Amino acid sequence: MRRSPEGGVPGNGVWRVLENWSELVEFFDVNCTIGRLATPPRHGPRTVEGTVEAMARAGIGRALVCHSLSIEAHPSVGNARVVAETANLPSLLPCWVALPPTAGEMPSPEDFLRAMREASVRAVRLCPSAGRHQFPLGTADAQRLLLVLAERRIPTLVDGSEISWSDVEAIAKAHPRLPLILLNVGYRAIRTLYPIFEAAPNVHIETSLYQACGALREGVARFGARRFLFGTNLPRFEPGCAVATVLYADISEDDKRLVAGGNLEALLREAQP
Amino acid sequence: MSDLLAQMLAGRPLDCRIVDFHGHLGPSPNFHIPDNSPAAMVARMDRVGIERVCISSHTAVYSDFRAGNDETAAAIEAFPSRFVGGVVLNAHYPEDIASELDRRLDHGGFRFIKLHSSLHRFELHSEACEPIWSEAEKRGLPVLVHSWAGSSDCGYAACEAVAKKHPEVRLILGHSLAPDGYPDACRLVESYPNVCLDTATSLVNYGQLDYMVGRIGADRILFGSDMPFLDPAPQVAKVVFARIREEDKRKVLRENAARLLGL
Repeated sequence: MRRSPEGGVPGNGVWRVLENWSELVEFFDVNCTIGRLATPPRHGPRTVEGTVEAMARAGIGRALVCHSLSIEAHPSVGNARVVAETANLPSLLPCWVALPPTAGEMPSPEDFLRAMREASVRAVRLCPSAGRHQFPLGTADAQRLLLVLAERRIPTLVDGSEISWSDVEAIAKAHPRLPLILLNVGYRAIRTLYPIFEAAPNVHIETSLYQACGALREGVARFGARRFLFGTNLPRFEPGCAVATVLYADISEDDKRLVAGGNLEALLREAQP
Repeated sequence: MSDLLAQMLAGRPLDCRIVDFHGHLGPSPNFHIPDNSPAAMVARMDRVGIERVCISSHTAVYSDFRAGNDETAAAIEAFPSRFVGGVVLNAHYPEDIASELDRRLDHGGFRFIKLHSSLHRFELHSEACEPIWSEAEKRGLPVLVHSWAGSSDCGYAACEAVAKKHPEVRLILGHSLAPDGYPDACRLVESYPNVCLDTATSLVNYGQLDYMVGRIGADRILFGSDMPFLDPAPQVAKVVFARIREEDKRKVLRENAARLLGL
């Protein structure tokens, strides 16, 4: 966003003095789920409208969203739903969930990406853990999917609790063009994360749980802002907390803009489904 | 829009001189914490608008409480107007309890007892812990305990037993029986007038504080950040973004703790 020499921002055709950081920083959430969860949070929003309202209250402009049915039921059930339920909501961008191809539950990776393109979907989530879709990432089957995702530079989301760090490193190194985004990476992960960041420039993490004191400051200083993507974990978490993590981080204004939304925007722009 | 919410969305330090009842200090054996020194913590406090934080060093809660209390004392000496000390005690060392309290309280800056029975592995309601509760009662010291749902050391049953047996001790349940036991924590507040809760949790559950204030009011809820384990900004945001009255946010962020500590 352009700024005037006095620190103002363009609004309604005139420069005005900046009052809210949240107006300057465009927040784009990479970690948001819609749909009825099997175990819903006690108080979080349970409708798409509620999610949009919660985002607006926290100053979040857009979110990349998966459907609970894609994660908890089956991608073939939820992927169509996320497109339908976000069709008239410009602040929500659909994200699909993928499976490896050999079992025949999903189209081939090439056809899957063609369907993504037709549905204007530009990101994919994988749920490989035993409690979710239960598939190993090291097999030729999974590699066939990852190869196509990497060739097309599709941002690929995996919950940090669903993948081992050794798999993260192996996949990121084997597919250096694959933007691998780990969700819900906790504040206790730094010792493990930094060597992975050093080894693989295509690994990124989402920030909703990355809360150790100074974690974002140090991580940005050492590895650059492009490694970090703002996320809320809506509907489970209070989205304002994730916003405050970025707004109050001891990093430059440019870096805040990248973390808040610029990085995700760029990764989605580079994707070629 | 509430005044505090407007300040936070502007990225400014809040104007309410926050008193943070739950903090630590120093490196953790378990994971890397970038900004864990007293000076780095004070810088983060200034950035967010925290006037004081009640601390107990990681050395004390993970290992040797006396060595750790020395670290806490040094931080207080360096920043006397910013840190309030919690005397960490360990029920496995009954012979040290009274003397450690004497030593710390004589030098000022320490105003409460901190117990981490989960890391030290004792049960809050065990016989071994009785000398600590007796000293707290005798000296009129509040006790901040680590509380965790489902834990035999510091879960609901342990906390209830202590609250019931020691009605004169002000018992603060750190984390409010996290990760999801806050309704039970509220039940303890409803049942026992000596119980208070704090807000510190990494899992920033949507609407948790709205629920707690709606059920038990704001007067017995204290803000806790758990810094430097956790960055204070999202922890403060948990209060600021709650759908509760502005005056209740200010009670949680400062007034309740200030009253308890005699600030």
